Amino acid sequence: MEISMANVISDETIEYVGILAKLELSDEEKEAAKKDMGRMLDYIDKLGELDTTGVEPMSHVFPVQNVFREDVVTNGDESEQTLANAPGEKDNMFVVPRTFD
Amino acid sequence: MDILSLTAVELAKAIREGKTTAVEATQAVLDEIAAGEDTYHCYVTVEREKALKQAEEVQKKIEAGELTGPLAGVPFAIKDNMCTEGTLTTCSSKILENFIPTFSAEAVLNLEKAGAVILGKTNMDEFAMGSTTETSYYGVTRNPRNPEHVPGGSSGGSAAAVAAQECFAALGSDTGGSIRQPASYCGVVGMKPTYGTVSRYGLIAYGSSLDQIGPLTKDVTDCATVLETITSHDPKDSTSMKREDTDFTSALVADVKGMKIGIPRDYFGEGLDPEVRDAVLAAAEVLKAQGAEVEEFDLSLVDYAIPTYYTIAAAEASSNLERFDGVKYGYRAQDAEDLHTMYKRSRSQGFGPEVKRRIMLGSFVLSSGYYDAYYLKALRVKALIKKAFDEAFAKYDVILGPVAPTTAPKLGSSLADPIKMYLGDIYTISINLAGLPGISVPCGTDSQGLPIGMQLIGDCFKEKTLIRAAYTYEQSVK
Amino acid sequence: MAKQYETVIGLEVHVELATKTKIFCGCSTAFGGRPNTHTCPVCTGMPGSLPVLNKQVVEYAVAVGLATNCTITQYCKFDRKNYFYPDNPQNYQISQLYLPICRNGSVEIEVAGEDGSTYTKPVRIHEIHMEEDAGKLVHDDWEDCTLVDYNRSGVPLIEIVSEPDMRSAEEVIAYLEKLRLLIQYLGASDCKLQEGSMRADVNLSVREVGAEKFGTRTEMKNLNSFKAIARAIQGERERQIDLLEAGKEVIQETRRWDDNKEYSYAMRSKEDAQDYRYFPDPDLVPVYISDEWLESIRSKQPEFRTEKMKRYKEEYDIPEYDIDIITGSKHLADIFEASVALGSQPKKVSNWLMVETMRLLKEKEMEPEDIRFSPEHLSRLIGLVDGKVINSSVAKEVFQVMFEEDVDPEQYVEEKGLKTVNDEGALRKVVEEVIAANPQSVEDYHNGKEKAIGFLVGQTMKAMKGKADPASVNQMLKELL
Repeated sequence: MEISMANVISDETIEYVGILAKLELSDEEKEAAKKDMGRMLDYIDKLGELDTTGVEPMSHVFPVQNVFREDVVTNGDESEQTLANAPGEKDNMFVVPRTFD
Repeated sequence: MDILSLTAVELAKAIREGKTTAVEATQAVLDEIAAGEDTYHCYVTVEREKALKQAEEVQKKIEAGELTGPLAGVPFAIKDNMCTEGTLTTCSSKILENFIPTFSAEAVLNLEKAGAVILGKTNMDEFAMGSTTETSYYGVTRNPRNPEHVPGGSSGGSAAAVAAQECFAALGSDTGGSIRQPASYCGVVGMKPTYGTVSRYGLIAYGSSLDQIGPLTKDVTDCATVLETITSHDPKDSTSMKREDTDFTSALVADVKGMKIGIPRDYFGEGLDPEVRDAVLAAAEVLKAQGAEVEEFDLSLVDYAIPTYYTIAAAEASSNLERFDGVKYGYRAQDAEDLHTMYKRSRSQGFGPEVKRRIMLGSFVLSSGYYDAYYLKALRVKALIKKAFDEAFAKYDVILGPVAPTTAPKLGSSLADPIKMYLGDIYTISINLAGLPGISVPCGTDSQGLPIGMQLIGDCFKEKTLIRAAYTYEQSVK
Repeated sequence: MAKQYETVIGLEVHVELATKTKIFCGCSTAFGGRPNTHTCPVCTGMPGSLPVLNKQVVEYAVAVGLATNCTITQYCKFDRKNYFYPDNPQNYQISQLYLPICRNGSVEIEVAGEDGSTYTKPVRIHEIHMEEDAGKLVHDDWEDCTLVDYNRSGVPLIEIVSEPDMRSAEEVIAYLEKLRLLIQYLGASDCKLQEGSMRADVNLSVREVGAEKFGTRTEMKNLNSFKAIARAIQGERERQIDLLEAGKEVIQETRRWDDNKEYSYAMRSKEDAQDYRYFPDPDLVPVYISDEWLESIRSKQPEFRTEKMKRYKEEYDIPEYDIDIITGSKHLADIFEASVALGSQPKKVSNWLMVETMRLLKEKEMEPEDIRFSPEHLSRLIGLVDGKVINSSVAKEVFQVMFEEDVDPEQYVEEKGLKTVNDEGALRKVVEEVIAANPQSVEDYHNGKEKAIGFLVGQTMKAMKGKADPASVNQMLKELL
């Protein structure tokens, strides 16, 4: 049975989100993603039932502010640890496929 | 003496009194792991040698009188999304199949300072995304109460390890119920503290505004003791709170006289298994018999918690998981000639389907043109949900309800329908949105013998009230 | 008749703040160093690491905001800007979009017009926000790959975004110089374009003179000198006009300026969606700048150039031109004031700065900010001349060494034996020898040729290896002739 969805996700949208998220999906995965995302968005659309006019978006649950560090150097040379898990290393740097054309 | 059946606090006492040693306890639990893992698979990594060495050192310090705390010498399991220096930390994902952190999470350091022995890293849903531990790249974990069933998740390995006596206590993390729900399914105690109570430094983030580390233990005494040990104000975590009232063990008092307990009617509606409902309501009766004032009320907005949660958590996750790109650590796809192909292949091969699903959703709700309609809307509803709890806590000390709508489902029966799976989080999720503490306490079994958990929810910073109520219940039904 | 076009320019200026540590961790911001030696889990995006804000970054950002007449956003937040690139270890940059720390400012710029006269105009500042810098990418030709160094990752930046109020390269440079001076006066950054501690992205569009609507703009990056900025503006203006004249459209895009080829290239790629999915960073809490805090930052604001110029005019007897040059660099003004405070005569200090210092700066293609000699040493040098310990030509020699190596002039003069010979007997002996050796000049002098004495002074100085006081030589010659 075909499930009817209010949010129909196009191939272009899945392609676009794939670029944003740096994910390469197979055709099969794309079809599944279209369906899943459409259903999730239908579900999320339920929030539209609530009137939130004048309600401030709440990022943090507690009104904590001004958590600072003093401007004092606390770290020494940690390059060994920084590079310990590097998939590619050369001259104390991370190696990646070329970025320039 | 059957070492394995001791609670963490009992074991530490036995070690202090010279009845056993940290090494003996560690060896016993490692033997149990060796025997049980083929069936349960609670761990991704077991650090046999390291644990025994650590146990020796701890034992020396205990004998020298340097370690006198209530957890000294106790072997612990750590969920595999907390960094442990020198020990593989995978988040149960292929993308971190070879990642060895160079520092330990603050909560783990706090445990080690107290003389805990770290046995290894427990299995979980990949990046804590799931509620069955079936999304792990390293295979499923089975429920020690019935291996045909899931242990719950995402801290399924930690809950199962406690239940299977493959550790004396464990740490888990809870973003939408990931400690409380597996605790409920495995018949152990699990607690998510108030947001900001335990440092998130070293916890590999899923939903940063929701994540909290907490204990999974054999009983309420262990739970309070472990929580007291891992709590700290950490200057490395900007969201870590400075709290004064963290002597949680002082709340281990069997007395709820005059305590006002509210039972949200909205938690007992459609979808709740009648056996779970009856067990939870029976537990409420026990507390009432001990002198608590119990009444029903309407919490409201319960149906909106899941869509709010999945919008916020997916959005934060999509950003938090961007760093896994094959550049600095973890899995890198070979044979990619250019950078963007390397990114795409590493991530597509490295992440499993549930993680990809949430990253896609999160990227979409933050994308240009949708941010206001989805993400900001969810943050506004979050504010409303928080307000509903504030109103409830103006009237009640504790809210009591089920942890999950059902007992542990059978392996393989949940993943096919994501939304149905997400609905299982309905009673736990809003607690994370509002930053509240919640505890899951075993309150019986269903007709198949599977454990049922009740959830006690407190106002912010009121862990002690929860511990007192949970302890009173536990003592009453002993 | 050919159409007349107007250039419309807005600037995004990134300034590296002069903090000791990075914006979210305790790593040093020191320039250079072996790759990745100034890194930690936070600034390399290790799993589980968390940022904690450096308070000094907020103080500097507010100070710059106040100096540029901005409204300070007393309740501000950080947002994540999401995009994948290897110089950005988390693949999101912590920045500010929704509530930047400063808004709605403006600075007055002074520009030389085409007819030589100067005019002033305000350039409005849309906002200033705080953010973290990216790491450095190095291309490895040998293995055809890119190498990543995170030493600069997490160095604090402020981005100053102007309104599209500028109309020429001259206005742009006047605006940048104004910002640079303000920020240097604040001590918030050294603002060196070459080293990248000040960077400007140019947003440029053209429109027909008289048109009300702006044209489509492009953004140009990679501009690391005022000259490159001027050339890039000219080049981009022409490119856009050529497109319009050919009936084509300007495409809104980011372009990279190649100063060697004097051409810009589109940086487009299908992998860059330019959709940054900004949202408030849940790992950081909001910043609240109370009235008291704001006042304490305001009260610490230094004396800026205009006030300084006014004060110099009142306090020191030096030419207005000198005042203009000296106050045009915070460092120069600091040296001037410190030297005067050490007791040196303002006029003499100013002379050293205006003549010898400027000459050497030009010769060595240096900026006043690069001056290394200390006010103490300049003061001592002036003292040596005043006390006739050395003469002025020796002083110039010593100054050059001091300029290059910041040597102590007293010690240097002592070591090199450059003191003027004040031994009258020794001088008399040399003068007598010079008189004896130059009978023709002596005769010329006696015949009324006053100039001849100049030659004899020169000969005496030469024989003394410069270590005599020319006035004393002159006097003794006259005496003996």
